Amino acid sequence: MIFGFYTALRYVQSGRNQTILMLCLVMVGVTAYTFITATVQGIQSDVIRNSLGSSSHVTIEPFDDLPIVDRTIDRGQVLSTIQTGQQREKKISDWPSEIARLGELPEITVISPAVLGSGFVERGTQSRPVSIRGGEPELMDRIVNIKKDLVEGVFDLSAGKAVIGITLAKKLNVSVSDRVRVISNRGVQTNVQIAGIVYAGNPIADESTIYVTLGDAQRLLRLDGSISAIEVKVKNVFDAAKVAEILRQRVKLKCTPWMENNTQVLTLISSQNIATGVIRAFALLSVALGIASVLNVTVTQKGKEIGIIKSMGAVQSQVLYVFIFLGGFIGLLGGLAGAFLSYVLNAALKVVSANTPKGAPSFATDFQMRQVWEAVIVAVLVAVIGAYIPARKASKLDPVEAIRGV
Amino acid sequence: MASDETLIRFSSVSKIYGTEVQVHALKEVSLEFKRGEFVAITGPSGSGKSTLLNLLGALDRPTSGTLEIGGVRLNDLDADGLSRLRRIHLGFIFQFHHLLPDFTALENVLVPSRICVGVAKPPDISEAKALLERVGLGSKFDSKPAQLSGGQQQRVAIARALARKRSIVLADEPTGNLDSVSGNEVFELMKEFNRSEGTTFLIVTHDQNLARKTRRMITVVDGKIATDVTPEKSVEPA
Ligand SMILES: Nc1ncnc2c1ncn2[C@@H]1O[C@H](COP(=O)(O)OP(=O)(O)OP(=O)(O)O)[C@@H](O)[C@H]1O
Ligand SMILES: [Mg+2]
Repeated sequence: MIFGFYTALRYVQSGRNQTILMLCLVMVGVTAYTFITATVQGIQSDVIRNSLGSSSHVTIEPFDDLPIVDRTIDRGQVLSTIQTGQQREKKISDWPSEIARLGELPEITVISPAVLGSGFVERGTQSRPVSIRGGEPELMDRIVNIKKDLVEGVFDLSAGKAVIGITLAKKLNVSVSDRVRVISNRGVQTNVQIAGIVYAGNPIADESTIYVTLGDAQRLLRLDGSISAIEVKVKNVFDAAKVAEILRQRVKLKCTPWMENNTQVLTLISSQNIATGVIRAFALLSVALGIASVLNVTVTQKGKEIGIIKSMGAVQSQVLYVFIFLGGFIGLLGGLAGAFLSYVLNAALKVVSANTPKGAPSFATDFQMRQVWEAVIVAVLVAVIGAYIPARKASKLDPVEAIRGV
Repeated sequence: MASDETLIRFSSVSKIYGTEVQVHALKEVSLEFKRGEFVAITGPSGSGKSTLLNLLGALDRPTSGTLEIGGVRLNDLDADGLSRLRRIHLGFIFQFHHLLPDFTALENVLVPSRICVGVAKPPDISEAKALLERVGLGSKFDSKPAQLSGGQQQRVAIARALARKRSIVLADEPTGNLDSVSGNEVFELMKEFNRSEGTTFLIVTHDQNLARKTRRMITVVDGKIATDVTPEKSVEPA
């Protein structure tokens, strides 16, 4: 091992063309590997931020209540079908104790009561359909995350105040401190004053939601102190299903993780993961094959040297280690170079790429130090794997034939 | 100089190369070498000298017959077993120096030591330096083979073959690639080591002048030992 390590180190140090060629190979492969990882991760966190950053991760609601009916079946004839009750608004009456029952979990970042319904917002002759969202301002903001997007006014949700999106404001032709009329689909109407206008960059917040206090929403939707849902946010969005599962044990309510309602996002992410995996696998495979073929030439060229080393008493494993270590060193150096190159490439593209209207770079990327180490470790492994077959060939060389140069 | 201890014993050793077209390179050769001998092996091209030397050096296996080196029967050893045997007893010098081009002179001499020692023991640098000084390369420790002359390269190879006090050095035309002056120097160096260290030297050479300077001369013709003589008039005083 020591002999192999030392000899391989010397081969790397003498930096012959083949060594440089192999280093470039690893570097390019690792760059591709790290770059695609960082880019896809960037895209994914963007997608997650956009689609899940401003919504609930686990939504807790009453079960769809089923009407009690006589379900006897007479001679195979269906006497009744069961439909969910559509007239009654679903509601959680004793919500403070339900929230208490949910308790705490390290994964959960916020639990917020929410009143959700629909209706219209009117101003003069303009009328727009909207979702009505009521909540306790601070908690609700931690779910919908719009306070930071305020472009006008303040995030003030005291009674009689509301926050709306910029598109909705334009369509109604209103600005801060104007009053609008809200009419719920339960037939209740009230006047609210616009306290703030947000530009969140997504149509739900910007175009079709009015944010009001919990009390105002309850009155509008005739909920009488009840709420329609408890919304939960978790640290890592992919924990939502697990968290929902745990919460189901704690309350007799329907707990729905975002995945069940947002299958497109899930499909997008998992198909991206598959595609990235395939690309990465091929990048690594080509590195391994490249190392194998270059090293194969090296072994042939160094045949006489290998024969001499064997004539001096090196056993097969010692010769094997020479080339395994050579592969390892090349993986290490090439991996570091590749990781550095992809870091530079990432940074450069971030600067060069145009910014979106909101100021965020349009080149989504998420380059993390962890990826560098991962790439270097992967590079070493792949290079060693690539080196294995030529190394074995070297170790099996017959010293007489090697020295004769057959 | 030679002791009574038999280092190498060959009993009716034959070597046949090839399967379809067979070449009988050695035919039933029986030989013995004692510790401290200084032997020249000569003979026409293709007569089987290198074949004999490779077998003597445990680099190759015979087709038939038994051979023993340092009391170990080679027939029973696998490839790694032969390597370990070479490690202990045998040093090689070839016509072309075959130094490792990426290593300095000193590092080349250290290779046998590095092959043998493990993690615990560092290689014997002082031995390697002493050997290089003895072959007259005390100022060339850090030179790469490409920076040395042919004679100097061959002297590094001698130092390497002698590292770790190997008891047998096999040389296949060590002066074949050198002019007569440096050839002579290299030859004298080997004699010098034979005298001082008692190292056994088996040297294949075409050079009759050099061959005559040895104490035993074996002539191989057509795969057989034609003559095996110990000249009366040895250059060395007895
Ligand atoms: N690996 C091999 N495969 C087939 N034939 C071989 C092999 N090695 C040697 N021979 C043959 O065996 C015979 C003896 O070869 P060897 O190399 O021992 O001769 P030599 O006496 O060393 O010759 P030279 O003085 O030219 O070096 C030759 O006929 C040669 O062609
Ligand atoms: Mg020969």
